[in-house]
Amino acid sequence: MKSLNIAFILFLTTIFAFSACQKEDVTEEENINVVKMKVGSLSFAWSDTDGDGGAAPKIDTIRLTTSTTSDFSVVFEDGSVSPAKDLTTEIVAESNDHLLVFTPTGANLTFSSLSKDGNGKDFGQTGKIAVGAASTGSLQIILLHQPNKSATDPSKTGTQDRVVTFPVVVK
Amino acid sequence: MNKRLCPFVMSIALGGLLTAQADCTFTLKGRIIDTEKHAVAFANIYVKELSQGVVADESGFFTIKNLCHQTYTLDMSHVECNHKTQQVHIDGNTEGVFELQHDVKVLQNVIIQSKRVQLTETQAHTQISGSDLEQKQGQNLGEMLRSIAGVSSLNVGSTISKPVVQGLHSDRVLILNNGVRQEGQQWGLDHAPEIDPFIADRISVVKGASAVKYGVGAIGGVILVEPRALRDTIGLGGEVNIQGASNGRMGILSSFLEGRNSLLGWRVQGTFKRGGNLMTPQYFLSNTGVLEANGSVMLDFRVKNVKNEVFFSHFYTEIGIFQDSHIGNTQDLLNAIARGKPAKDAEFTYTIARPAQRVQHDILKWKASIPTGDIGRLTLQAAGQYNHRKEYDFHRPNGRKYLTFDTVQIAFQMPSAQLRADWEHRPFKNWHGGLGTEGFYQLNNTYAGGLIPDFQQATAGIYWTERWRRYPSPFELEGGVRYDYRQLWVDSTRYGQQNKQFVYANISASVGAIYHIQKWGKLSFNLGTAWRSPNVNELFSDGVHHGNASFETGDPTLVPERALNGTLSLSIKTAHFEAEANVYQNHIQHFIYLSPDSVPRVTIRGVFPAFTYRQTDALLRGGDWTAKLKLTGGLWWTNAVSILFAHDQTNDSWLPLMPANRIEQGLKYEAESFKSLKNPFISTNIVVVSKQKHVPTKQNSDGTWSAQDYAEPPDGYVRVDAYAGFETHLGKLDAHFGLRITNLLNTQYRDYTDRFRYFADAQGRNISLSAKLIF
Repeated sequence: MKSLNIAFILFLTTIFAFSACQKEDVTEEENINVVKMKVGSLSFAWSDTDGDGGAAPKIDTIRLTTSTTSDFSVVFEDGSVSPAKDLTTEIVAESNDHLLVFTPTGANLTFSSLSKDGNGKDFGQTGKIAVGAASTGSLQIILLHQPNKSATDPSKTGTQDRVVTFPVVVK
Repeated sequence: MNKRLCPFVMSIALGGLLTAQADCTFTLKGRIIDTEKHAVAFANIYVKELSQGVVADESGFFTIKNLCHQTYTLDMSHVECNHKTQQVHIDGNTEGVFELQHDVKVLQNVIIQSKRVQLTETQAHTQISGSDLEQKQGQNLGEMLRSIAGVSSLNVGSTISKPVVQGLHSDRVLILNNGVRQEGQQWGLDHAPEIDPFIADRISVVKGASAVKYGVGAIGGVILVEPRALRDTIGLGGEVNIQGASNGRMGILSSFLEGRNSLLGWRVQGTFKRGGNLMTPQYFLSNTGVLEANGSVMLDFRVKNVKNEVFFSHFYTEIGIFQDSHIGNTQDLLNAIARGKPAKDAEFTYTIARPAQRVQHDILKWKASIPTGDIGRLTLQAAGQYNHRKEYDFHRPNGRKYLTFDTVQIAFQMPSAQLRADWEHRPFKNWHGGLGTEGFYQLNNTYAGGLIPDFQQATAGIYWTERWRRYPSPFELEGGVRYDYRQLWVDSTRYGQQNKQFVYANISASVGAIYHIQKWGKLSFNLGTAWRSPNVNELFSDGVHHGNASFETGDPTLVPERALNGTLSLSIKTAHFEAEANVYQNHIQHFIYLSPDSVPRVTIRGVFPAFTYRQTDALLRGGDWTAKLKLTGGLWWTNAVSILFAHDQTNDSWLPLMPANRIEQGLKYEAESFKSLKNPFISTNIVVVSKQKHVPTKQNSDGTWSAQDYAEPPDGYVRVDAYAGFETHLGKLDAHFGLRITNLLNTQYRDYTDRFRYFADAQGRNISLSAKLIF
């Protein structure tokens, strides 16, 4: 029965080895779950702090006054922690690999003076927003990763990291 | 095709006949028995050199007279199995032979081969072994099996491939790796079985519900990956396999060394595989390299009359995920489909970059076979498994590049433990069978990212099967019943499931019959019912499934699936014609599938089409057929057909992701052995796959109908493959050489069940050369 015992010991040892298997260090993911559109002194948030599933996202309506021009900036945050962690600087640091695309539908909004990346190409994290006549509609903001900024339509290239759509009311 | 294992053992008593002077006056007396040492009645014994044969009597005895002083080749066959060939040296002057006459103990040493009794399945089944298997080695399991009629594969490119049996896959098909139920993260479409096919010298596919023998979940079929038995003679041996393939510039080295001494038999085996970016007929696919390093150890030894077997295997792979297929949202996917080819030109490299998977799987098994007096044999098996899967995204979700492998996005650890006891009773009257019990425990720990909550699962089962056969009646009958109890614990705040328990318990059963049509054919019928409890992803998914660009929601109230499966099979085997035809119907009540929601889901990555796991009644009907006809000399015509209709009964629609109908035609020329060149052959196979027209559809706003999919199913295609091979001697070594060319004509095509079809063409021509040295 000696060999039988050896077999058992072998088996148990490996079971132990399984359970003792190293857990690798997993840094807690920082995750963008809040996108804020700041226009002048106003701030509008698109937030889904519990992740994709669970509660529905909270989406502010962007309310702007007709015939005004203001500076805007887009801010990315991880709102699942308190206080919320600003992740915008990480994207700004990799501006060459990112592009913000603004697509208003129905709302009279015009974007200009988009901020540039390290190569002098559009980046768009900040810029100017001109508000036209009274209107209602929506504004879609896409954060593109690794777009081909030389393409005729860079918005069709790269992968879409974040895509949020705000309702817009211009009065 | 079907090189079924011959279930009997031949023991030859060279008895009372050896008068040692004149040539050709010897008589060979033998007896055919099975491993239980019981007689096998009415077997055929054919002596090749004399072109004459005899039939054993009811007790298995036979006599062949007028034999000369020489070596004879005996071809033994029985209605239950294929031919078994054995050489017997007749030499009247050999003393040992005389001893056998009187000594029963020595007589046992002449037992030529000792393999477990395997009664023919009443279910449809196919086996790949010998040169068929050799021809396919080097591919992954899914690709190897898809040449079998009724079997296809679900692919994510050519590196990730899951076997599909009669339309069902993943948790609905069990894989037994050397008798151990493979427990990996089988639920994901991009989770391939973690198995090194080089371990196997025989891979069998049992089609249809097979829960009685194999347990919960086997509602679609079972795949058995079986290593060869350890050598039964004292000494050393081994094999070295070397392969090189043009596409992906892949190199494979797989070898084993085995031995037996008076204490134990052993084998150490290892496989190393490395491949780079694959090429379609027109372009490289970026990041499609693969690395695999596997090893296994097998031991057997006897302690008194208990036969022990210990098996350990380690599997490790790194797989690059084609960058274009790694999409962020629906728009990315639509952009990729519109592009029709990869966004960037890739070059050849062996480097595997993000996105990638790293998967490890370990199995440790101990099996003991204990005789229980005169009444039967008890087999105990304990097995532990550890599955560790890590998935690396291209970049982190916040958009930062993350190109090294130091942070993982999704990681699962899954240890499982299995214990089983099977008791087989010796034939009683004309009944042969056994009963057994099985216990199973599993833990899943998602320690990074993930789509499913952590869970624990325990299952206990008990079964009983019996088989009736009385020679020479042409009928065989079989029946079995099984009960399983499964408990699932989920504890996850994230999924709103605090310490929840789910209990699933039910019965599986099967009945079958075989009618032997003279010597040449066999008609089988099997009716089986089996069940499968919902998987954790089906119960609790709640998020974006990136691979599918869809938002998937689970349903904790899902009930188990229940399958009722009937198969009628006819198999024919003559010297010039072999065929196997199956027709089947698998009705699955409460079939779990992803059903589209009317409202899409809004996430911070955009809007995704939403799907919820719902249940329907599915009816899978089909037929598969394999035939081989000798045209002239060594020229054979081969033919295989797979047909499947997978209908969603509740919604009067079709089920998605089902393999399209397929016909294969081939010619094989087996030439005469020429000097030291043995068994040379050359063959070609034309695979014709039709367009899958039976897919779920939706009505568009303009009233037209289109596939409920991002892209219409691709057109059908024709692919030509070719093979050649021969055996020879290199010094003292036996050497087998093989050539395999897949997609000989470098045809551009896409397959419906390949997820890469949205992004790129299937793999182009691949020329693979292999050498196998046996020592």
